[in-house]
Amino acid sequence: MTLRIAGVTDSLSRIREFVLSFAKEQGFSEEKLGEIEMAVDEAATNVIRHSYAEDPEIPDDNRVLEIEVKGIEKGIEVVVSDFGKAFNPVGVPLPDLERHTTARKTHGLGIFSMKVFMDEMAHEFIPGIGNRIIMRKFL
Amino acid sequence: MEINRRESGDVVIFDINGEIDLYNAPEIKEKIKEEMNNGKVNIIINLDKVSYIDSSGIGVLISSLSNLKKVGGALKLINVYASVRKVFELTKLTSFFEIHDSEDDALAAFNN
Repeated sequence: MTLRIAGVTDSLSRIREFVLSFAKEQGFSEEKLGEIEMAVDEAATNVIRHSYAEDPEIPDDNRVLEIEVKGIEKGIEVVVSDFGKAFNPVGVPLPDLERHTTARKTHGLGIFSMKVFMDEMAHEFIPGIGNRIIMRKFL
Repeated sequence: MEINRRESGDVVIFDINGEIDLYNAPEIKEKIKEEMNNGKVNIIINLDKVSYIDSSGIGVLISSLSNLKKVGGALKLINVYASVRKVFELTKLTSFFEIHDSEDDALAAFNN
Protein backbone atom coordinates (compact mmCIF):
# COMPACT_ATOMS: atom_id res chain seq x y z
CA MET A 1 0.00 0.00 0.00
CA THR A 2 1.48 3.35 -1.01
CA LEU A 3 0.67 6.94 -0.14
CA ARG A 4 1.88 9.58 -2.59
CA ILE A 5 1.65 13.01 -1.05
CA ALA A 6 3.02 16.55 -1.41
CA GLY A 7 6.38 17.03 0.30
CA VAL A 8 5.20 19.81 2.58
CA THR A 9 4.87 20.09 6.35
CA ASP A 10 1.09 20.04 6.08
CA SER A 11 1.34 16.41 4.91
CA LEU A 12 3.03 15.09 8.05
CA SER A 13 -0.11 14.31 10.04
CA ARG A 14 -1.61 12.42 7.08
CA ILE A 15 1.63 10.41 6.70
CA ARG A 16 1.57 9.47 10.39
CA GLU A 17 -2.07 8.49 10.18
CA PHE A 18 -1.46 6.33 7.08
CA VAL A 19 1.42 4.39 8.63
CA LEU A 20 -0.21 4.07 12.06
CA SER A 21 -3.40 2.69 10.62
CA PHE A 22 -1.51 -0.07 8.79
CA ALA A 23 0.79 -0.82 11.74
CA LYS A 24 -2.19 -1.17 14.09
CA GLU A 25 -3.62 -3.87 11.84
CA GLN A 26 -0.34 -5.79 12.18
CA GLY A 27 -0.82 -5.97 15.96
CA PHE A 28 1.93 -3.69 17.29
CA SER A 29 1.76 -2.54 20.91
CA GLU A 30 0.90 1.08 21.68
CA GLU A 31 4.52 1.71 22.62
CA LYS A 32 5.88 0.36 19.34
CA LEU A 33 3.21 2.20 17.36
CA GLY A 34 4.51 5.44 18.86
CA GLU A 35 8.05 4.52 17.84
CA ILE A 36 7.04 3.72 14.26
CA GLU A 37 5.04 6.94 14.08
CA MET A 38 7.99 9.05 15.11
CA ALA A 39 10.55 7.31 12.90
CA VAL A 40 8.44 7.73 9.77
CA ASP A 41 7.59 11.33 10.65
CA GLU A 42 11.28 12.08 11.09
CA ALA A 43 12.21 10.48 7.77
CA ALA A 44 9.60 12.62 5.99
CA THR A 45 10.51 15.72 8.00
CA ASN A 46 14.17 15.38 6.96
CA VAL A 47 13.24 15.35 3.29
CA ILE A 48 10.85 18.30 3.58
CA ARG A 49 13.16 20.39 5.72
CA HIS A 50 16.60 19.60 4.33
CA SER A 51 16.01 18.57 0.74
CA TYR A 52 12.85 20.07 -0.72
CA ALA A 53 12.95 23.31 1.26
CA GLU A 54 16.63 23.97 0.56
CA ASP A 55 16.98 22.90 -3.06
CA PRO A 56 15.29 25.24 -5.54
CA GLU A 57 16.45 23.08 -8.46
CA ILE A 58 13.98 20.30 -7.70
CA PRO A 59 10.99 20.64 -10.06
CA ASP A 60 7.65 21.22 -8.31
CA ASP A 61 6.27 17.97 -9.73
CA ASN A 62 9.03 16.07 -7.93
CA ARG A 63 8.42 17.59 -4.52
CA VAL A 64 6.43 14.63 -3.35
CA LEU A 65 6.92 11.80 -0.90
CA GLU A 66 5.94 8.20 -1.36
CA ILE A 67 5.29 6.16 1.75
CA GLU A 68 4.99 2.45 1.18
CA VAL A 69 3.93 0.06 3.94
CA LYS A 70 3.88 -3.70 3.85
CA GLY A 71 3.72 -6.58 6.26
CA ILE A 72 6.80 -8.76 6.60
CA GLU A 73 7.38 -11.82 8.77
CA LYS A 74 6.62 -10.71 12.33
CA GLY A 75 6.72 -7.05 11.48
CA ILE A 76 6.32 -4.16 9.13
CA GLU A 77 8.43 -2.50 6.44
CA VAL A 78 8.04 1.17 5.69
CA VAL A 79 9.79 2.74 2.70
CA VAL A 80 9.99 6.52 2.47
CA SER A 81 10.96 7.67 -1.03
CA ASP A 82 11.86 11.16 -2.16
CA PHE A 83 12.98 12.74 -5.42
CA GLY A 84 15.75 14.97 -4.12
CA LYS A 85 19.54 14.77 -4.04
CA ALA A 86 21.36 11.86 -2.43
CA PHE A 87 21.30 11.86 1.36
CA ASN A 88 22.06 8.83 3.47
CA PRO A 89 20.79 9.19 7.06
CA VAL A 90 22.07 5.71 7.86
CA GLY A 91 25.62 7.01 7.48
CA VAL A 92 25.12 9.88 9.92
CA PRO A 93 26.66 9.02 13.29
CA LEU A 94 24.43 9.18 16.35
CA PRO A 95 24.87 12.50 18.15
CA ASP A 96 26.23 12.70 21.68
CA LEU A 97 22.94 13.81 23.17
CA GLU A 98 24.38 15.07 26.44
CA ARG A 99 26.63 17.49 24.57
CA HIS A 100 24.02 18.09 21.94
CA THR A 101 21.45 19.56 24.28
CA THR A 102 23.98 21.42 26.38
CA ALA A 103 25.12 23.13 23.19
CA ARG A 104 21.44 23.93 22.46
CA LYS A 105 21.66 22.14 19.13
CA THR A 106 18.33 21.16 17.71
CA HIS A 107 19.31 19.20 14.61
CA GLY A 108 20.22 15.54 14.57
CA LEU A 109 17.48 14.37 16.91
CA GLY A 110 15.36 13.23 13.98
CA ILE A 111 17.91 10.80 12.60
CA PHE A 112 18.63 9.66 16.14
CA SER A 113 14.95 8.82 16.57
CA MET A 114 14.78 6.89 13.31
CA LYS A 115 17.78 4.77 14.24
CA VAL A 116 16.74 4.17 17.82
CA PHE A 117 13.06 3.47 17.21
CA MET A 118 13.31 1.14 14.22
CA ASP A 119 14.95 -2.30 14.28
CA GLU A 120 16.50 -2.08 10.82
CA MET A 121 17.22 0.84 8.56
CA ALA A 122 18.78 0.99 5.10
CA HIS A 123 19.26 3.61 2.41
CA GLU A 124 19.29 3.40 -1.37
CA PHE A 125 19.95 6.18 -3.83
CA ILE A 126 18.78 5.70 -7.37
CA PRO A 127 20.59 8.24 -9.59
CA GLY A 128 18.18 10.44 -11.50
CA ILE A 129 15.31 9.45 -9.23
CA GLY A 130 15.98 9.88 -5.54
CA ASN A 131 16.38 8.29 -2.12
CA ARG A 132 14.64 5.35 -0.48
CA ILE A 133 14.81 4.91 3.26
CA ILE A 134 13.82 1.37 4.17
CA MET A 135 12.85 0.84 7.80
CA ARG A 136 11.69 -2.34 9.48
CA LYS A 137 10.11 -2.87 12.86
CA PHE A 138 9.31 -6.21 14.44
CA LEU A 139 6.46 -7.11 16.76
CA MET B 1 -2.80 21.81 17.33
CA GLU B 2 -4.39 24.42 19.56
CA ILE B 3 -2.60 26.73 21.95
CA ASN B 4 -4.53 28.36 24.77
CA ARG B 5 -2.94 31.06 26.86
CA ARG B 6 -3.48 31.72 30.54
CA GLU B 7 -1.69 33.76 33.18
CA SER B 8 -0.96 33.09 36.82
CA GLY B 9 0.79 36.05 38.39
CA ASP B 10 3.71 36.87 36.13
CA VAL B 11 3.81 33.37 34.69
CA VAL B 12 2.30 32.63 31.29
CA ILE B 13 0.86 29.15 30.82
CA PHE B 14 0.32 27.64 27.39
CA ASP B 15 -2.03 24.67 27.26
CA ILE B 16 -1.29 22.79 24.06
CA ASN B 17 -3.75 20.37 22.57
CA GLY B 18 -2.89 18.02 19.69
CA GLU B 19 0.23 16.91 17.87
CA ILE B 20 3.43 18.94 17.52
CA ASP B 21 5.49 18.54 14.36
CA LEU B 22 7.44 20.56 11.79
CA TYR B 23 4.18 22.00 10.47
CA ASN B 24 3.05 23.68 13.65
CA ALA B 25 6.08 23.77 15.98
CA PRO B 26 7.11 27.27 14.76
CA GLU B 27 3.79 28.57 16.10
CA ILE B 28 4.88 27.73 19.64
CA LYS B 29 8.17 29.52 19.13
CA GLU B 30 6.33 32.58 17.82
CA LYS B 31 3.96 32.63 20.81
CA ILE B 32 6.89 32.52 23.22
CA LYS B 33 8.68 35.28 21.29
CA GLU B 34 5.59 37.46 21.54
CA GLU B 35 5.55 36.97 25.30
CA MET B 36 9.23 37.87 25.51
CA ASN B 37 8.58 41.04 23.50
CA ASN B 38 5.94 41.93 26.07
CA GLY B 39 8.35 41.33 28.93
CA LYS B 40 6.89 37.95 29.95
CA VAL B 41 9.80 35.57 30.39
CA ASN B 42 8.47 32.94 32.77
CA ILE B 43 6.61 30.33 30.77
CA ILE B 44 4.95 27.01 31.54
CA ILE B 45 4.06 24.65 28.72
CA ASN B 46 1.33 22.18 29.57
CA LEU B 47 1.71 19.03 27.47
CA ASP B 48 -1.19 17.20 29.10
CA LYS B 49 -3.17 16.99 25.85
CA VAL B 50 -0.22 16.53 23.51
CA SER B 51 -0.32 13.04 22.03
CA TYR B 52 2.74 13.39 19.83
CA ILE B 53 5.87 15.50 19.55
CA ASP B 54 8.67 15.11 17.00
CA SER B 55 12.22 16.45 16.90
CA SER B 56 11.01 19.73 15.39
CA GLY B 57 8.83 20.29 18.45
CA ILE B 58 11.65 19.36 20.77
CA GLY B 59 13.94 21.70 18.85
CA VAL B 60 11.53 24.57 19.37
CA LEU B 61 11.38 23.87 23.11
CA ILE B 62 15.19 23.74 23.33
CA SER B 63 15.69 27.00 21.45
CA SER B 64 12.87 28.74 23.36
CA LEU B 65 14.34 27.68 26.68
CA SER B 66 17.70 28.96 25.52
CA ASN B 67 16.25 32.32 24.45
CA LEU B 68 14.35 32.72 27.72
CA LYS B 69 17.42 31.91 29.81
CA LYS B 70 19.39 34.60 28.02
CA VAL B 71 16.98 37.22 29.34
CA GLY B 72 16.73 35.78 32.83
CA GLY B 73 13.56 33.80 32.21
CA ALA B 74 12.67 30.14 32.32
CA LEU B 75 10.58 27.51 30.61
CA LYS B 76 9.02 24.68 32.59
CA LEU B 77 7.11 21.72 31.24
CA ILE B 78 4.21 20.04 32.97
CA ASN B 79 2.19 16.87 32.43
CA VAL B 80 4.65 15.07 30.15
CA TYR B 81 3.15 11.63 29.70
CA ALA B 82 3.45 8.36 27.78
CA SER B 83 5.02 8.53 24.33
CA VAL B 84 5.93 12.20 24.69
CA ARG B 85 7.80 11.41 27.92
CA LYS B 86 9.55 8.52 26.21
CA VAL B 87 10.84 10.83 23.50
CA PHE B 88 12.22 13.13 26.18
CA GLU B 89 13.83 10.22 28.00
CA LEU B 90 15.42 8.69 24.92
CA THR B 91 16.82 12.02 23.84
CA LYS B 92 18.08 12.60 27.40
CA LEU B 93 16.06 15.77 27.70
CA THR B 94 14.39 14.93 31.00
CA SER B 95 17.40 16.33 32.81
CA PHE B 96 17.78 19.26 30.44
CA PHE B 97 14.25 20.55 30.91
CA GLU B 98 12.59 21.29 34.17
CA ILE B 99 9.62 18.94 34.13
CA HIS B 100 6.96 19.08 36.84
CA ASP B 101 4.08 16.75 37.53
CA SER B 102 1.58 19.52 38.10
CA GLU B 103 0.96 23.17 37.41
CA ASP B 104 1.05 23.95 41.12
CA ASP B 105 4.54 22.44 41.42
CA ALA B 106 5.80 24.45 38.44
CA LEU B 107 4.29 27.69 39.76
CA ALA B 108 5.80 27.03 43.18
CA ALA B 109 9.20 26.49 41.54
CA PHE B 110 8.91 29.90 39.87
CA ASN B 111 8.02 31.53 43.17
CA ASN B 112 11.02 29.96 44.89
